[in-house]
Order: sequence, then C-alpha cells, then structure tokens
Amino acid sequence: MGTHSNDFAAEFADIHVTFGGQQVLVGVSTGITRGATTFVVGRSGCGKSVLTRLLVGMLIPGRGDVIVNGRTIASMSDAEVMAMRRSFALVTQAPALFDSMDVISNVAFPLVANRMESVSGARARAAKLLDRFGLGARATAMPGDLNISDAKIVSILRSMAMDPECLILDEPTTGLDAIARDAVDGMISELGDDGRTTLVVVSHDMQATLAIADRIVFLYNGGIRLEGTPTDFRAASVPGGEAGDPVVAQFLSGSPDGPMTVGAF
Amino acid sequence: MKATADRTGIPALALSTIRTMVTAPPNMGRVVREIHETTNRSLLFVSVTLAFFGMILVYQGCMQALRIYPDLSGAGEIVIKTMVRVFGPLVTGLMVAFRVGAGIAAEAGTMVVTDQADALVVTGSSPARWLVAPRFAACLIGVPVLTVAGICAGVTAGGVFAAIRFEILPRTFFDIGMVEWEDFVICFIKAFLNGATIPIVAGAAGLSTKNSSEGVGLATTNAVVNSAVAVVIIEFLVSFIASVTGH
Amino acid sequence: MSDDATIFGRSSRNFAAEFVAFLGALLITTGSGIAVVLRGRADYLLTLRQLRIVTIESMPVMSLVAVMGGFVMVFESAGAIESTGADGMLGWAFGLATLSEVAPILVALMFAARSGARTTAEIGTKSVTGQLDAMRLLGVDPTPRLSAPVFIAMVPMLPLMIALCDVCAIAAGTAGASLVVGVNPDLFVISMIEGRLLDELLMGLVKGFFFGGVIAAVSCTLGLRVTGGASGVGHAVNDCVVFSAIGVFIFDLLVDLVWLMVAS
Repeated sequence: MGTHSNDFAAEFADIHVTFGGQQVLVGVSTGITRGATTFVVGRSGCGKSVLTRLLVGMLIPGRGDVIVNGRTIASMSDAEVMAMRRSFALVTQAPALFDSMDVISNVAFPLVANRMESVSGARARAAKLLDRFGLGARATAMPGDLNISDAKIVSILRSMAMDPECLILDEPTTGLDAIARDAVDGMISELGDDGRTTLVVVSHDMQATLAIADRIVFLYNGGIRLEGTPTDFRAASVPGGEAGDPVVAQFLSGSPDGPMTVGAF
Repeated sequence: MKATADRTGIPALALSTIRTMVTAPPNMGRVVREIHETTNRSLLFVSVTLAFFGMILVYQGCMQALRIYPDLSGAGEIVIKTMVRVFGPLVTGLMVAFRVGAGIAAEAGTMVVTDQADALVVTGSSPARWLVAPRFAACLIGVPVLTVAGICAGVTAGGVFAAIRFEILPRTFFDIGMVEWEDFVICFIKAFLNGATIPIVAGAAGLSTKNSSEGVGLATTNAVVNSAVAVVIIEFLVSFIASVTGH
Repeated sequence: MSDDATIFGRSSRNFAAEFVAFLGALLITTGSGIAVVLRGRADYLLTLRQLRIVTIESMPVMSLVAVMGGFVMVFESAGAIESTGADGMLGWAFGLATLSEVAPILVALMFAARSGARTTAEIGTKSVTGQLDAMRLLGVDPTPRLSAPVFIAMVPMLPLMIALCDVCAIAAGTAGASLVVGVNPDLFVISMIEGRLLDELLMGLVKGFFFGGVIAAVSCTLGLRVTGGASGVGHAVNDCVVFSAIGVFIFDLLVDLVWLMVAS
C-alpha cells in the first residue's frame, strides 16, 4: 500500500482543547505518518474536525503543540502559516466554493492567488483535474448551480490543485449519494496509493475506512481510544477476544447497546 | 410562487396597513414593546448624532455669519428655529431610517426566506398585520418623541458649543423668540410622516427579499436607502408646501 | 434582541467591552487594508469592479438628496431673504452654511446607506458561507481582495462625488431661489462666491476623504465580523449605517475645527 517511512509529516503533542466550556480533546498525542493514509473516526462531536483545524493552524490548542514538518505551529509567523497551508491543505466539510466565480476559476484560484502558476497555466491544470474526475462539462458552471456532490468534489479538486504534500479531508463523503461517494473514495485511494501524498481523512463511513486506510485513529471521550491498522481494528471489535474493546465493538457495529451512550462522545 | 408577492409593493402594503389599523388594530402590548424597541434603542444614537449636528450647525452658521455681520446675538434663535423646522425631523428621520429600517427589513426578509410570510397569509393573517402594523403604530408615537429628544439634544449641544467657541451667552442663545407655532406644526407633520413611512417602506423592501443567501443583506440595504430617501422626500414636500402657502 | 432595557437601549455592562473590541478591529482592518494598498498588492480587477459599482450605485441617490437639499435650503431661507437687516443677513448666512456644509454630510450618509451597507452585506455573506475561511485555508489572505479594493474605491471617489453633488445642490438652490422666491440667480451665485465658496468646496473635499475612509473602514470591519448567518448579516448592515453616520458627524466636526485652527 505504498511506502511508510517512520517520519511524521505532522504530530500532535499532548493537545488539550476546550470548546464552549466542554473539554473536547484531553491530552491527545499522535503522529501522522508521511505518505500514509490516516483515517480519523469517532462519534459526532468527538473532536475529529478540531484535530484537522489544529493541523493547519486554524485553531490554537489550549495546551500542547502541533508540529508540522518538524516545526511547532506556535513558533511560526502568520506568513509562514499561510505558506504552510499550500502544502498542508484542509478541505472543509461544507464546500464553500467562491460563488462569484465559475468552477474552473475556483479550482485554478489557489494557483493564481499564490502565484504558483500563470493564469493560463492554472486554468489548464484545473481543466485537467476536472476532466480526470468527470466534471469537465461543468467547468463554466457557477457554484450555485452545482449539486452537493459535484460541489464537494470541486472543493477537493481546488485544494488538490496546489499538489499539497498533505491533503486533509473533513468528512468528504458525508451527504453524498452512493455514486459520488464511490467516486470520492476512489479519488482518495488513488491519491494514497502512490505514497507521495499524506492523507488525513475524517470519516463516518466505517466500511470505506476499513477498506482504504493505512492507519485509523479512533477518538473517544476526548482521547485516542485506539490507533492502528484496519486489522488491529477488526481484532478489537471482537468482544471478549484478546484485543477486544467493547467501545470499538459498539462503534463498528453501530449498535445502541454498549458503553457508549447518547451523551458521551 | 409566493402568496405574498402581490401584496408587498409599497402602495399595497400601505393600504393594507392602514386597513389593519382600522379594522384589527394590533395588540397594545405588542405596540408598547415595539415603541420600546424603536425609541429606547435609538435614543442614544439620535441624541448623539443630533448633538454633533447642532454643533456643526452652530459652527458653520456662525462662521458664515461673521463674514457678513459681526453680531451673533440672533444666532441662537435661528439655530433653534431651523432645528425645529428642518433639521430635527430630517436628521432624526434619517437616523431612524438607518436604525429601525434595517431591523424591520431583516426580520421581514428572514420571514420570507423561511416561508413564514406565506404561513401568515395561509392562516388568515398577513405580513401587514403581523409585522408592519405594530411598528407603524409604534413609530407614529416613537418618531415624534425621538425628534423632540433629538432637537433638545441638538440645541443644547449647539448652545454649549456656542458659549465655548463664540462666547454667546446661554441667555442669548436659548431664545425661542423666532420660533412660531407653525414651525412646531411643520416639525410634527414631518415627524409623523416619517414615522408612518419608514415602517412601510422598510417592510416592503424586506418582504420582497429574493430567496438566496445574499437576499436578506440586499433587502436590508434597500430598506435603509429607500426609507432614507423617503424621509428626504417628505422633508422636501412639506417644506415646499409650507413655502408656497406662505408659512 | 431582548437585552436589559436601559435608557441606552443596551446592557451597559457589555457595551464598553464590545465597543473597545470593535475599535480595535476597525484599526486593524484599516491598517492592513491601507498597508496592502500602499504596497500595491490590491487585486486589480476587483478594485476596478469596486470603483465602478460604488459610483454607479450611489450617484443617483446622492444627487437626489443634494438636489432636494438645495431646494429645502432655499425654501427655508426664503423668509430671511424677504426680510431686511440683521435677521435677513443672518438667515442668509445660515442658509449658505446648510448648502455648503450640510449637503456633504447628507450625501455621505446616503453613500453609507447604499455603498457601505452593500459592502458589509457582500463581505458578511462571504464570511458566513465560509468562503473567507476557505481562502485562508488555501494560504490566501483575503485582504487584497476584500478591504483593499474598497478603500481604493471609497476614499478618492467619495470626495469627487460630493463635489459633483455640491454642484447639483447649488444648481437646485439657484433654480429654487429664482423660481420660488424670485431671487435673481446671478445675485445668488455672486453672494456665494463672495462667501469664499472655493474654500468651502476644498474643505468639503477633505471631509470627503475622511468620510470615505470611515465608511470603508466601518463597512469592511463589520462585514468581516459577522456571526450568525443571514440574520447576522442584516444586523451587521444595520450597524454599518449607524456607525458610519456617527463617524461622519464626528469627522465633520473635527475637520471643521482643525481647518479653522490651521487657517487662522
């Protein structure tokens, strides 16, 4: 599934985050392996999105450090953080396309705005990306006219256009129909296969997670309950088994019975 | 498309509101609450802006006057007269259009976008009755009150400024000798008309919101501009009529 | 919406803190916007768009108000013109003051109501729909695309538009004076020139720069700080016009005072 080097593209060191009086993350420490595809899973509100925002400096932890390519974000200047986001690109759950420009301009935007390419070069690159993922016909459409599936794909392509070393996707398939979901899952697999791009994907889709991920991080109660390969997860989901964990079992089965209740996350 | 579409032009809304006022006047409690919303929330704003305006008026007028004639003892009289007749209602009206107009439009716009406006019509009520009429009643009372407060603030600030800058004695400045009963009448006519027009114009702008994320913001800006223009037009018409009829 | 009712219409507890926070944001937005402009990094096309929109959308309303203002000034001064002596001169002087000083204020207020409000609505909508964050996540600072073009459009254009509106107001005043009151237009204009009109117009232009700056700063800052979806945008638009109005009045008085100090 691609080469795994042991160096981390990014690390979380003892992260504590509080939101509106709630402690969302308590002492979270983990690393994002370079070149691997890491899925972050857990119940709604457990801090998955928070983790992605910490990674790109959109959120500052109350305590702890976020380290990207060996440097703590806290030590970076604003300009350096901005520059970092061209290689560590976060795609939010809501597409948030620029509604005053058409699809191809949206996809070309980061290249033009960051002066990574000329306008014509950027548009050519954008056109290729759109064609590759079946949206060539919609290149001149306005964002307001797209359905949610197409909009989500365009927003992913927009970030991909920068050819980032790490692509972070926050629930890329939530709210999509089955066909679009497959397309996006295919995109993620394809990107992850070459081992060049580090992927961090927040997901609710356990089937896709187990199928695609190199590593899975499972958040529960503000901390990491389990992190490991899909094999580790399957082992943990066997209740009473050697590595069995009732929480993991309940989460994977989607059953209402078990240690997880509605209030806890 | 929308049931309310036919009834939200300004003339239609005006008629609808007046009819509602006569046939099914809004609930007193609601009106009192709206008066509070309008007046209380705008009082500081109106007073502050008219205070500045009063000082500006005194300053500019006296500077101009000094070029022609050295005696400023009549300045206070003229400031008070013009404040009552022209600038009190005009500036208060504009400030109310800004402060209250946007609020009405935003609420109306949100109602349209969430389909509540249609729901009102379907249940036999109407946007005019629910949204506009209470504010209409409230502004008829609130705007004249604010105008009076504004004039007091403006004249007082002007007087203080005149004393400090031009050394005009308060006794000399605060002289209402020039003010006649017709000035008060004109002032109140303008204030009432402002109070009547702003809710209707702003409500109409809000109720014609297009259904989009830009919709409410756009409706609000239209409401503000249209009601401000309405205030200026009222000012012009009343002044014109007064002038032509010899008042 | 239902804060404690005080005579100030707002719970005074939070007011001071909010106000200071807003002033801080105002300074930051202005500073960064102007810095971008001075470094020549404002987005060219978006700046052109702003220049075009700002003039087209505001000019009709502004000239309408100016014309009405000119007429009203004449109606109100009519009585003074007819009487003679000290009262007449004084009334006349105040009439001129209205024309050359108050007209810019009214015109700037309409500008705030139209262009300022529209700016806040545009920026605010982009903010609540996540587009500004999306830009930042792509490593792009929104300022050269958002506030810098607005400053470039408003600060130089408003004085020009005010000057044009002054002409409208004077024309209306002259016409009104001759049609309604029966004053010879030549006399009217001469009396204004003798009142050192050029000086007034210049001060009006200087004020226009400040008014443009205030309205640009307030409208951008409020747009960037919008919270709470579509109704939040409406609320911000409301605040924009209110704060712009206060700013216009403050700077008008300030320029008046400083001008005289400098001139004497």
